[in-house]
Amino acid sequence: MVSKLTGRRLTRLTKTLVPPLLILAAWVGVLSWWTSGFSAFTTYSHALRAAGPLPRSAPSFQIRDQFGVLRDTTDFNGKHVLLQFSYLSCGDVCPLSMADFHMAHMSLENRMPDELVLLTVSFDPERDTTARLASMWGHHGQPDGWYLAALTSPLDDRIQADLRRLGFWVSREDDSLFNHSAQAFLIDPEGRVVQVFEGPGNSVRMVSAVEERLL
Amino acid sequence: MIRRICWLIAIIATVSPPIDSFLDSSMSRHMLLQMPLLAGLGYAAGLLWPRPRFRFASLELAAVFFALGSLMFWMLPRSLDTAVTVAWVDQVMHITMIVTGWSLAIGLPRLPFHTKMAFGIYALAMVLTTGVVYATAVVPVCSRYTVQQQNEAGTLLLWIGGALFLVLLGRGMLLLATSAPGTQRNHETAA
Repeated sequence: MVSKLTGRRLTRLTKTLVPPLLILAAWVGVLSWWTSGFSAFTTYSHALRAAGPLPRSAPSFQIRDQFGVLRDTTDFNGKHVLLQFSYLSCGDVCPLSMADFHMAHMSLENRMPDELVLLTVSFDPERDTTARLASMWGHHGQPDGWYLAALTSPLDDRIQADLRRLGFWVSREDDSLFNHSAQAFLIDPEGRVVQVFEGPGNSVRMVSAVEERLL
Repeated sequence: MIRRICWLIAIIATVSPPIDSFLDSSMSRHMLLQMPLLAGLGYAAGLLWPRPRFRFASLELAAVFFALGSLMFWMLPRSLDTAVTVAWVDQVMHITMIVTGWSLAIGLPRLPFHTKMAFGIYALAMVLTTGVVYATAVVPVCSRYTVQQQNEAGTLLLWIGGALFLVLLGRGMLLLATSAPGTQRNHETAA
């Protein structure tokens, strides 16, 4: 009699709990998959996770710097590189990111350019001409070891793919503005990305990370 | 019959390309107008058509769980971005929001008052947290919208959260008042 009652209660409990728990489990699964294990809630962070674990090999880019010199980003192999992408017409996050580099340069000036270079690469080569880059460099006090450069060609599928391999997301909008990630990448002398700084306001962390590696 | 035709016209109007593009073009319109509008139309569908009668109360709870999971999913910045960028994801979002509203219509009324309050408090926490994130972020969280649009949507979410808080507080106080010694009404009446 007792076991019959217990059995009925168990059946009722199962019928009561199973449907909500199944729905809950389904949503947890979907959300976990969509956010890469609850770690990437934005398009930017998802691009970064999708690029794979650190350290990873950094792709190379053809650039033209503020002096008009054509370079490849691999030219800086043998030194640590703090790399960021931006464009000079940006109205929100790029000035903040560049301010981070300005602060980092003030703290790491004695390491540059022999052990470390700062590299800001614009993905808007049509508007960010050599003259404009040089002017911005001058605005920051012509810091030695900070290269302001632009890609040598406009964003295309190949460059986009390379940027994705790096963990960087950018998309050109109809009104010639760009939506993009705001990360800085620390690349070691072997050309591997060893640390990523997400968002602006990271100059102190950048300085600590570089100093730690250059000890 | 007329109500159902009006409902159908409202659905078609909300997801038709010109209006959809207009609603998608601003974060506030997308998140705080189109999505609640579709959920509202889904809720209306639950009232206009005969509601299924479930044998177990837990299916109603499952319907509400589905609705909350769906709202959580479509409030994620990456989901919002993808809905704006990819047409078929946008269509999935439209359908999901209608089903979400319908789930709430069939689930919520049959749940006990305390369970409704628990879901209300959870929804309030979700709205306020998202609102604070969007209102205070100095960098774009959603890649398809500007920081200004994001801050504006966050501020509106905080206002909505405030209104929801007042509603929940009012319901809670009403329950306390009606369940005080000497009152004739009971909890169920308050609910």
